Amino acid sequence: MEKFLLRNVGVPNSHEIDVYIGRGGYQALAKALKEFEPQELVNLVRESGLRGRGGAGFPAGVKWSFLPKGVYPRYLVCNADEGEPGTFKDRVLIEHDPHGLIEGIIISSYACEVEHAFIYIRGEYVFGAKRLEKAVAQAYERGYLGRNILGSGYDLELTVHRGAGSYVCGEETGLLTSLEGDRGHPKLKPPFPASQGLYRKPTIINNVETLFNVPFIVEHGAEWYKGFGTERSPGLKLFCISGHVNKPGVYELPLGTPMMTLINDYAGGPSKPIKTVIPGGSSTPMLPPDVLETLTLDYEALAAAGSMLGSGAVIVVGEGTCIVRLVERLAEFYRHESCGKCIPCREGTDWLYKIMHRIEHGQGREEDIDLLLDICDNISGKSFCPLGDAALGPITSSIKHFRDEYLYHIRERRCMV
Amino acid sequence: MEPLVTLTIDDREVTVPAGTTVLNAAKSVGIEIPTLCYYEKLAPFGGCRICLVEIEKMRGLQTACTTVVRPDMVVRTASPEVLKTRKAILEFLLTNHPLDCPVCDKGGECDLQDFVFKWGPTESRYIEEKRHKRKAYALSPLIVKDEERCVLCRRCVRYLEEWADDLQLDYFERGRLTRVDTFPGQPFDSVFSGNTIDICPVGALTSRVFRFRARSWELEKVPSVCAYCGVGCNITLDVKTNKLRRISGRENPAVNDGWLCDKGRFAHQYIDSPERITRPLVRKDGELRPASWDEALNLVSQRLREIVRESGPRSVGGVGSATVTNEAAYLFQKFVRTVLGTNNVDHLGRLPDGARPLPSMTEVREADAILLFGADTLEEAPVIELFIRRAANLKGTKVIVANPRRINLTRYGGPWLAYRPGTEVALLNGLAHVILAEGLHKEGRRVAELKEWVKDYPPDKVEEITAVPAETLREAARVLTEAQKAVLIYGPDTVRGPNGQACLTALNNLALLIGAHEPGCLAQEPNSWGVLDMGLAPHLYPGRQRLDDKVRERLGKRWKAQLPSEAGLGLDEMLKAALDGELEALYIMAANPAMDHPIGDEALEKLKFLVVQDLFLTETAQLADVVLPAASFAEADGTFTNMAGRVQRLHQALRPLAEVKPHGQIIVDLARVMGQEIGATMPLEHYSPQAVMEEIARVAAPYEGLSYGSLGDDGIPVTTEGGTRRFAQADFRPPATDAAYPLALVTGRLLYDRSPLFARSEIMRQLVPEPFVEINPADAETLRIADQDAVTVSSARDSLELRARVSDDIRPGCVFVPLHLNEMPVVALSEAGAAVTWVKVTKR
Ligand SMILES: Cc1cc2nc3c(=O)[nH]c(=O)nc-3n(C[C@H](O)[C@H](O)[C@H](O)COP(=O)(O)O)c2cc1C
Ligand code: SF4
Ligand code: SF4
Ligand code: SF4
Ligand code: FES
Repeated sequence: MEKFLLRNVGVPNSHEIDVYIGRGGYQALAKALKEFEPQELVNLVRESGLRGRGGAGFPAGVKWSFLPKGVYPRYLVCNADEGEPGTFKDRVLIEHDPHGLIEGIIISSYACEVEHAFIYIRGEYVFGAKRLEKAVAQAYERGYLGRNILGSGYDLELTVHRGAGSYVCGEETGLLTSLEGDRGHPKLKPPFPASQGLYRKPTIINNVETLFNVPFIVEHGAEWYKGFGTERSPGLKLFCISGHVNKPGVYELPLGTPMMTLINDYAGGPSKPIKTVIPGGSSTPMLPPDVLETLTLDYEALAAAGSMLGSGAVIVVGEGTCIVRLVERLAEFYRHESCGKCIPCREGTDWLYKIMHRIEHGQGREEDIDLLLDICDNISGKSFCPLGDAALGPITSSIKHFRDEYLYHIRERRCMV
Repeated sequence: MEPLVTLTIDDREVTVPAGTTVLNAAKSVGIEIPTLCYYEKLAPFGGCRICLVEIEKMRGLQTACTTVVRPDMVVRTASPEVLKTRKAILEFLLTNHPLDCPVCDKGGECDLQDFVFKWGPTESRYIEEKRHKRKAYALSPLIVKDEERCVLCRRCVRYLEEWADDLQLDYFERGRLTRVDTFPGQPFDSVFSGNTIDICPVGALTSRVFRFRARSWELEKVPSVCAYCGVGCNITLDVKTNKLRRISGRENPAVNDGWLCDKGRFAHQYIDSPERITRPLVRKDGELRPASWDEALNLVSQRLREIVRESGPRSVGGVGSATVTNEAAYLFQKFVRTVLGTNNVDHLGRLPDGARPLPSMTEVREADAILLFGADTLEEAPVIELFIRRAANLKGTKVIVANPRRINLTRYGGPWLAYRPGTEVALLNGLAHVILAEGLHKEGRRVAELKEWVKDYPPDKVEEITAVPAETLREAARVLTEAQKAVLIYGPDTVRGPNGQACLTALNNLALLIGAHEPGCLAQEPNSWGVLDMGLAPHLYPGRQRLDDKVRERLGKRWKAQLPSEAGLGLDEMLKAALDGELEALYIMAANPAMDHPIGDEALEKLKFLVVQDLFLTETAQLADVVLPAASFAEADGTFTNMAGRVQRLHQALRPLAEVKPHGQIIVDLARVMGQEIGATMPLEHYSPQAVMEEIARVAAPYEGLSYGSLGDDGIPVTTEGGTRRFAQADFRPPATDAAYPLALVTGRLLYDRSPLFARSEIMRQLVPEPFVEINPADAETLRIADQDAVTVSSARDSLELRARVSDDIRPGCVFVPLHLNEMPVVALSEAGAAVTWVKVTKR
């Protein structure tokens, strides 16, 4: 299949502006500035059906249309926090095609009438941040950023900001408080960022990949874009597949592609018989192997299977992996990342981890399984931000599909595998 | 009126104004929803999740504290899911809560305890080891922190952000490790720190002063009023076994809104100080020795009578203070006028005629610009500072500071007019000049005359006189005139002394020009207005009536006494007369002129007879012939009238120690020994402040109709009539200078000082700074003085030995010496009645 999102990845020096331009880069920007009024671009993206690639899948054009009329300044923030375990697709774009992202940001900012945009990149992406900073400097030099971009009269500043390392700073309000220089804590919604976000001004927050799609839509049109994917999940998507497969990596596929196509045709097939797949990042409920044959990679199909497309991070878990140990490790991650603002997540994730730890270390009790489920129920839907819920997926789904393995662990005080 | 919204909560129809939260809508019909992070005076936070309720057609549960009502909402606050969730939140908290209840000072008034009792799990499912965090460590000298008890509701941090604007606490770490703490190496020394104890829902923040002093349910709660400053914060005195254990804030939106400063909250241990005078003392063989009340009062009676007989009533006088109740002040002046037969009666720190109370607190809180002229609310009226900070911080209220010294409120960037002392009138005239010249004044004022009067004060010239840059002056004028609701506040010293009246006039002119409320005085004592209303002044009868024949006759009839017609002496004059030997005896109630008046100690030493009634052997009491032990504010009934003219009730909470008596009682008893009834006795001869208030209500017009019944717990504002408001000429007279003494002395109070009560309050007194003189780096350099150098500050009259504090908080050409920090009276440097005190500073 022809590559779009990954078209520059693998090209020597793809991060350099001349290489990018040589391969047709910044053409979409020129077109957007010349041929479109901002509102027309919003409509275009809305028509394309592009859904947010950060995890929740909210239609980008719809979000943009929530900006209150006539309130300025507005800000656009590109969410490059990429914190969900298993997710590394944004990183590839940032490191290999930074100008593609910048072009997407400029067009989107123009559409949203923004004059200052930010890239909030996770602190661990040192290399990526450097690449971005350099690319931003190049874009300024060439007049793609700054005053009067390409003679259009449109001005845009773009700032790269490095986070200090917290998963919750990927959550949009946590990200904004962190960007403002405060402790990264989620904030009360409403007001939603679109009406009062950064510095209490209207703010659009989109994932790296979401913004990266925009130039292609401008270039080829909404109809072209809708030609990929399914009716409710149109377009192209990056899947980052990891775990027990022969060729882990980032692959570009239309939404709606069968899961087994990704695993077998792209990722070189499983390296061990598949025990379970976590389809959309570590927080999404794991699926048993028997559903994989018919599963397609789109928002609807994964929801119907009881999980989520999430960030497109497919984690393949092979036989021989202890589920209890796996879940204990994930529980540790979530309790470590709980920001502490709300009681159910702060206390609940700690408690969940401690029970998982006990079970894993041979101190489990049979009643712990119901206790785990009840604690999950007491967190579910009750936490301040979705992180609390995110912590539950691995536990509830593993008990659902692997209760026997838990029981074995408890009774025999050791791993089943 | 706001539109109303009707919704259903637990099958009941509820109608509330639009914008109400589900929580408050439920509360309005008596449905209780527990809350931890929510606090009504803080912005909603939504963090704790204990208030989750079910709302039809909304996915999942919603936090009642953040969800605003909508028409036809159907809310359930006690459905099985809601109750399960509530229990779960409590269970989550308890998993790691230490359950220190038996030794926790919050026990009995802890929300967590109460909520678990009502809604919590009865059994623990938690078998893991509890987390351990820091216990019982000093967050500050006043506050003890227990991290294990903290539920991380962030109320304390949010309060410091939204009210005190002292960002001294915050979260550290994250998730389960989160803790509230000070910043590394930084103190928690906000003077508003104690409010965090009141609002902490659990025992994570507790008071050093109250620590282990009682179980909350043993406390008898007595409503009263803080006796430290003119704000008159409403407080609750918590008493057990006749000991004051704790003071906490009491809700009164018209005054302190429940908040207190740390002085009012913590500095009450003087009441139990072993240094209290508990028996009358009489000087025998040159020493003060214990005596019985009979002996002491007989001696006072006899000596006062002798002196009046021999030298006439003009040779005696009475000095009170604005720290006593209206009732005591009223009786005192009545005693001096009817029993001693003289109008020689006054009090320390009297406000000048023409000074006016602040507009109501509400007006101060709602102002969009505030001019603080020669006043420092942080040191002198802290809770007003709290209100101003909140307004400046959250609403952008402009705070214009006119002060030779940088005060805290300058941080809001309202212009700071650092004028040279003595040039106040020129500065104010300059402001008027700019407003008129730029045509910024309110329409419809007849300004022609004023224009003429201030024509000689263009900004450039004002800059020369006052050292305030012309541009700053213009900016201040613009800020003032752009405001819709400006409030002008001045410190009492600004309107005292030779330029005081001109200053008042100029302030009035300014207020008129911009259409503001009458400028208000930041009265410093708890009863500054009241004692004036009570006639504790040589030229005023109760109700601030002038001493004319008609009033004298009427009052005389009421009081069944022949009232003296001769004009009385004020405090300055009495002390001068004492120095000259013309005044022979003084009766002093709760005042310390030996420290607080430039010639106090010399004058008192000259007296033939001095009686002092007070709590402690102050510098003044040490000079007395008879010392009478007086009750503290918590040991007597009475009323104070605060700086906004609000009369508020103090309730007796403690039986006085040993032979201590309330001020009013001592006066009544003495009068009786001297053969005269001065009212307020009941059949059993008990002093009755209530009866005194009834009498006040009959003779002092503004208090007409007041009674303890009508005052209730919230008090009532009284209005004394102001002068007519019209423009008048304010003459600026340049202050005389003295080449030998090149620096102008600026003095002022500090909140924490060595005044008699504060200095005897155990824990608080550690916070009093060492005496210092603040000097600008430019002057320090010329004088080769370094920070912390030992220096002598001397004037033509006297000198003080102090440490230098080199800081640009004070403008060049001035030095700042706080009052009440040293053993030596700072006021002794000054000539009574001088506009500016000139000093020099030399290195020792
Ligand atoms: C705990 C948590 C972590 C998140 N982390 C990320 C992230 O790393 N990157 C991201 O794009 N979105 C993340 N999100 C989603 C964002 O809140 C937000 O929905 C997204 O950035 C919106 O962009 P989109 O509409 O383009 O997907 C996270 C959400 C939660 C609750
Ligand atoms: S669910 Fe609560 S504690 Fe967890 S990250 Fe979100 S706000 Fe913080
Ligand atoms: S110390 Fe008290 S007020 Fe502050 S966060 Fe903890 S529980 Fe809340
Ligand atoms: S502000 Fe004044 S009245 Fe209020 S508590 Fe402090 S000292 Fe007392
Ligand atoms: S009281 Fe509502 S969330 Fe804390």
